[in-house]
Amino acid sequence: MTTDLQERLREDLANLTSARLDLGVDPDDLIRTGRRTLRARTVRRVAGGGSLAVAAALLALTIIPWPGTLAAPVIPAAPAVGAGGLTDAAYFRVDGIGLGADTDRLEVDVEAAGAGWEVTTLATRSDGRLTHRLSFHQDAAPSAVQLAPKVILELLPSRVNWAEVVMKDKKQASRIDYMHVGVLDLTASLVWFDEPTQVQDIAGFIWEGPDSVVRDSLGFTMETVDVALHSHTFQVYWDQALDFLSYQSPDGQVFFSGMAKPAEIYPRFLGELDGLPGSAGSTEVYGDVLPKGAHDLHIELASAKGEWAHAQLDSRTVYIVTFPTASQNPIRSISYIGADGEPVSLRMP
Amino acid sequence: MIGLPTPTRDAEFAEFVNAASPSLSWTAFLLTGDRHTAADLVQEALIRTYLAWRKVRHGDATAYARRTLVNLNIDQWRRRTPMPVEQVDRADSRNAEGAVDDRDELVRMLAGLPAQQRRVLVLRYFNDLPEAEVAGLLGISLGAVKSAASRGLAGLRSQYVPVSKGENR
Repeated sequence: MTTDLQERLREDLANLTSARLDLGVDPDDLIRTGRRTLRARTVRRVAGGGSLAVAAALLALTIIPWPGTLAAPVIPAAPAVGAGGLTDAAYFRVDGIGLGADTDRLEVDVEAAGAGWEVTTLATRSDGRLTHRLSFHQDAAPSAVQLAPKVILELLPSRVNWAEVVMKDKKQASRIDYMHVGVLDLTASLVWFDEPTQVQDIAGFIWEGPDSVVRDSLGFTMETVDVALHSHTFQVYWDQALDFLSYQSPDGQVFFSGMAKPAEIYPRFLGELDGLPGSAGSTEVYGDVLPKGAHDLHIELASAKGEWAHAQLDSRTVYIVTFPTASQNPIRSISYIGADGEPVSLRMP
Repeated sequence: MIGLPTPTRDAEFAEFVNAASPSLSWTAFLLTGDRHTAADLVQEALIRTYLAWRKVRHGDATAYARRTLVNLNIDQWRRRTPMPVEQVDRADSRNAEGAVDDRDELVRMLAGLPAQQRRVLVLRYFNDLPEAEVAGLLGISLGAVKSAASRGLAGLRSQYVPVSKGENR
């Protein structure tokens, strides 16, 4: 599936190759340097080969306490997990990012301990040497642990099809990876940030379990409703507590509301789709939820090419706008009647 | 390097460098946004490729060099400091359509993204690698690649200025 933006980026990047970029790559110089390095390696192997294995074994016994701080679980309420035995560890490739220059891999192991979990994290170098070890007890609940200023470990009490972190402000994770941890049916998720981020900056987590139900770390199941436009239907998920909106597109893709809005009053940008029924090119999707009790929504679009529709989700009106990807603002205004009976009209920038 | 005469090895390697260095240079520059850092990356990646030439010469040496380059970039990233994005030398710097400025801007836009998103976008859309290959190269899950690509595109989207129409977006 390719969107106009993807295609444009691909073309723009391809055009770069028509330009000359001289970084001073000299094959002869590389070969000279390579030969010198080969000779030096040979000398080192001959001189110290016998003692290397012993040195590595001794170093492997050196366990350095993790320098990071340990935070309490973010969310206290959670379903308990059944007792189990030893678990298989989850492995994350770290590549030295955020957890120390030497750290290549992080292993997360969890054992059942009473009603909680005994969690062990081991960080190792590429040669297998242990660099950090951290053990702690954790209540059996969705939780976040600060491993380093820019790295947070999440523990979720379920296998997940996908997981997402929800921040309190506009800060976004730069990298998220998650992995199932052994027989306890846990998921460990490692979240990286580009700037120092505290556990307290996290509002919670959202994940879809194997049963396809989307839950949050507050213990709620996300509400869902179908929003039917003329040509297609979106399944919209809304988490009021976390102010989190997501949807499943007609072709089954899941999008999140983590993307910034163009402006504060603008609906959330919910991604760009290609191949929607009745659409020749790609389609931008916007959506949001009206304040509680608001009704009689009307959206004025920039042209008749767009569509919008709404549905009722509990006492809230949720709406979706689709518009062919174009270089203009798709929405001119949004108006509705507030819960107090007063009309509200928002003119889009 | 046993079994391969040095002159043969070196001739093969020199030919490989001439063929692969344009793409590797651009990959490094797009990943770092800085000429000097990119030059160091390419240099180091190619030297390591030379050292492993016996293993990689019958396979995809370019893929090996690119993997090494990306790993070195990840390694550098942890120590990074803000770096200026430079102007790029071009064989023909004149362009009636203003494409030169656009390309400079694209490099700046990429440099403004979080590193992981930038890596995924460069590998996906410049090196044209499938998502699964990007996941393998970066050592992350397929879901993480999709997530980074989606976030990266969203970041670029807000900065992309329409070239032809000039509408206010």
